[in-house]
Amino acid sequence: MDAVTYPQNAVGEAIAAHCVPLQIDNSQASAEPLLQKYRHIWTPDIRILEAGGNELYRWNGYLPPFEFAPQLLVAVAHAHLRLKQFDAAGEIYEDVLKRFPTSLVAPEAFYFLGVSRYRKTHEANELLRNWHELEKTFPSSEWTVKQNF
Amino acid sequence: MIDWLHSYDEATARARNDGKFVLLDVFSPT
Repeated sequence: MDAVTYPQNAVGEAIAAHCVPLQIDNSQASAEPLLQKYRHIWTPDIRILEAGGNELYRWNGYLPPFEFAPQLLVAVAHAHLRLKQFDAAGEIYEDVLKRFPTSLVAPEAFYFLGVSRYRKTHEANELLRNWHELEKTFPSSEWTVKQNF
Repeated sequence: MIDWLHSYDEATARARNDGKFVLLDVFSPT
């Protein structure tokens, strides 16, 4: 990550816009309380925390720069969504779909864009229209499976 | 270039002050 992903401008810009970056070396004894607190088990271990320390999103595993940037933005959008900041969440999901429409995380952005709009407006037809578009655009995505209820 | 912090307390304090989230990256040096 330090050698390939983090040096890329798109990644650095996404982090700087939304986050305070914190790196912890899991081999250091001083890190143990934090590793226990967050039940750390595997690296790369990426979390989005609110300022109080609550975890709002997480993932494991390496991502190349042009997958990491949209994944980070979706993570930040989800953090806003969980804090019921629906406009902020929706704007970031829309940005991901505009700038990274073929990224691995794009279907998730599509799914939760509908959720963020619905939670703000309670317009069920809007949600169903969004999810119908998700199904057409990403027919084999797990998020298409998840929108069937 | 990313200006990484290495102190949890400093990162959460700065996030609170700046109105941002903390991006926590736990890594292994090996």
